[in-house]
Amino acid sequence: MDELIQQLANGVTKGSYYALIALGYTMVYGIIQLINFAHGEVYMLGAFIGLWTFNFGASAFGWGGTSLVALVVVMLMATLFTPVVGVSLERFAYRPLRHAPRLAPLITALGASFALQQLVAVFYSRGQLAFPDLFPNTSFQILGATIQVLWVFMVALALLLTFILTAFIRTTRLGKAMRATAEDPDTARLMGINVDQIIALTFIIGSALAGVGGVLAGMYLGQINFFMGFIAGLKAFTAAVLGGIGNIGGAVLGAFLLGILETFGAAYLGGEWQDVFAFGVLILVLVFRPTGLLGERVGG
Amino acid sequence: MAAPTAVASRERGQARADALAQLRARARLPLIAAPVGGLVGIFGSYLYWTLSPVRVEGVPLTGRLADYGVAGVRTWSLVVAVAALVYGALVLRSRSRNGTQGQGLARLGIGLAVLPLLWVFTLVLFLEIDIGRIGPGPWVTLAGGVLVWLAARSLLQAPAAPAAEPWARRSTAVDLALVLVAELVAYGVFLIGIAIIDPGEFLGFFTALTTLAATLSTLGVFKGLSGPFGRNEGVALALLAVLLLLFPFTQEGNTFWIQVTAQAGLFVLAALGLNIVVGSAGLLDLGYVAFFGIGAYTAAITGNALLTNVNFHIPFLLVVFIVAPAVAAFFGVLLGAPTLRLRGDYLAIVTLGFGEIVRITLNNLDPITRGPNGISSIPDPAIGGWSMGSGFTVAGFEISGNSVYYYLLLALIAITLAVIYRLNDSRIGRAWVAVREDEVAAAAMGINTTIIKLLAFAAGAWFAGMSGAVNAHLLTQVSPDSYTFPFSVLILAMVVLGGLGNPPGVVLGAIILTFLPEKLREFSDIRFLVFGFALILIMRFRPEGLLPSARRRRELHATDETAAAESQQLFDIRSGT
Repeated sequence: MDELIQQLANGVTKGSYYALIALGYTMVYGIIQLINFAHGEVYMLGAFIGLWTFNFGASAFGWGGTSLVALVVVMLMATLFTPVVGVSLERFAYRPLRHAPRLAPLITALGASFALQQLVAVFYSRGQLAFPDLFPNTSFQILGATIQVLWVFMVALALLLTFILTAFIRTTRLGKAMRATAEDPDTARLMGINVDQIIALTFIIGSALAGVGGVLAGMYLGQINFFMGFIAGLKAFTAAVLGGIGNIGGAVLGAFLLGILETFGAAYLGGEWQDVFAFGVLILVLVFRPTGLLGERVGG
Repeated sequence: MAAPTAVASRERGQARADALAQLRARARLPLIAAPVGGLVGIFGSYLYWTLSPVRVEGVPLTGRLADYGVAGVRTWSLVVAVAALVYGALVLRSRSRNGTQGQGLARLGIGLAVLPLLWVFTLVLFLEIDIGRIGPGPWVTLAGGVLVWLAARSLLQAPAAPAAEPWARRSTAVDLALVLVAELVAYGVFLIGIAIIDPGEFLGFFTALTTLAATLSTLGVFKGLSGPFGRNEGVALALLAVLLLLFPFTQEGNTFWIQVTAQAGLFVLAALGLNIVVGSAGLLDLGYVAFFGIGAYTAAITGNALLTNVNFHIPFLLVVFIVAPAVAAFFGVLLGAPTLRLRGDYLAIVTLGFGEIVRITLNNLDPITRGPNGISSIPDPAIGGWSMGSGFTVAGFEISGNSVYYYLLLALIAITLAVIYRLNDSRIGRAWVAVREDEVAAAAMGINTTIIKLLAFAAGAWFAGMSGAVNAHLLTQVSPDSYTFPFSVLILAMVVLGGLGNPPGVVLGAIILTFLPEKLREFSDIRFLVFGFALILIMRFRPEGLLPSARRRRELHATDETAAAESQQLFDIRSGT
């Protein structure tokens, strides 16, 4: 029983950063029907920007270990710079191909993913880098399971951001424009919506969320590398499909489910099969219920 | 998000574009600047390119760069400069100047400018040579290139020449001579490229080659050559076969490049297989490496390896032609059967996941695959009592083991090409294209789209398995690390660069992307970085690849134009004009 709850807690924590990445996939897919392969790389860049910021702060202001200031600044930097990457991708790689045959933007997205990975590998580091514990490293016991405070923070933050995002899409003018664009871009344009700007906004929000996810994952895993976005991106996409792509709530639900499934799979089948388990889920979902648990939906 | 903002920003963008266009139209010089630029380029090539001898890790860069004179990279800038001078003079004297000539000239100018720039860039950035040590040569050559380019722009407004036609038949002798010369030139260029050791010089060679090829293509020479080649297909193929068979004898006992060429052959085989899936049937397979790996492991397990946990020996020829491809194709069907009903982009991600599953499985299935260590010490295949690695002797000529692999791959590629061409012309091949272009319409025409896609998947996996089987013996070992995602991307890049759907293009793409990294080993760090950007740029500017199939080119460009026309219509309605 203790073991069960412990695994559940691990799974939910993993789900929290999967969810933050999955939101970007699902939003972009909802609005331009493109699998943004490079999205996992945006998450990876979030982690690297966070690490770089921390190292800079450590040498310039003497940040050491856990400090609230460091945490806030690192998070802010990651959310400020990842949208720049996301928007540049959209502007220079995807927008020119919006009317091209379907294969073209997919291959471009793949190339972009590869280029971003290699940019980090070549100009920053190819190694495993330790990520600082920005969050106090304390834990508490509940029902016999050891829970880190960081885990609670991660899950709470992911849920809070999802809630804000949903409110934004449901209630604001821009959110309405987003839903309209997802529904039918041509008609939206006729209604006076600047579709290009809305698509760019989608990339901005998605990238910022992935950036936060990158920093959280860095703290949770304790180390980062240039390749981390590949597997995480694939899993987040699995989560988005599991929940029903294009569906915000579905992506979050799918992410938590996948996190839990994966942790249990790893615990009972052996850790080395963990990734096989996740991709197996992806294939099974696509085969038996391609619209996902909550159904495919465009917009909010 | 009110409408006025959108319109205003569009108008601002329009004004900016107009100003840019005006500026661009003004940037030109009289045509006389073209031969002058060529002369300047020749002069620049003769000047010294570095102020003191340059060494990379103790090895001097060849070509006496610090003296006056021509050698090394400067040979190639000289070649381009002379071409610019000659062609510039010809255009100047020509009575009927046209825009196409201007385009050709512009390409020469760009090549002449890019060559020294690229060279300086790599020296400074990757070999960490101080920019102060660069001599005047590259800068003068660059200026020459810019002159040629500006001169070429004076022909911008001239009407284009009529579209190039295949050259008509004059006489059989002329036809045959053209075929012979074209093939010998291509072969010679290949041998020269292989003989260049210095990476800086190779960069120059490659830029010059690309420039000249682009110029000739603009001027319609390749299109023209397709006339004599089409009329003498048999002779052309026979001559090509002879040249390829003679290749090992040109290497004077040095087997390294024969081995690299054999490696290129493996990639050609794999890329041809992927081309069936992506190019013909339009299914993006991102886990292609899995089938290659499955073929390689099949050959390793059945190939009498020393370090292996299981071994049921099966004769090599049986493995290469039937067992390994069949096992790979079986897995292709296994993956494809449930997933091929999915939309294209879902399929891409599922195949990506499958590639990972196979890799992880190979990694974890210790009893069979020896886990992360892989299977090693795979001997050269034996046919009867003769081991392929020991080579053989023909009429006093010794054929090394590497050459045997080279010949084996030549044979496999020839067979594969024959099969692929037959397939493409068959009912199945036409069905593939139909499914690629419009699946719903294809289904309405009575094509069983699932079966057809499954066939494409199985055929692609078949050739990957074949290629993988030879790879296991050539490298003498297999391990899960060799079959990772970047490998899939590499093969995809070969297909896309060469020309989706066009076998000769795919062969060219695979050859370029095997030799280029091998020649530029000093920059191997950034290899994948370049691939990534190359994929983006190709998709943006030349989605049909270097050697497109005629149908593909029309398809891609027609789509662009129709889409542009449609959005223009929409814009007209919106802005009330």
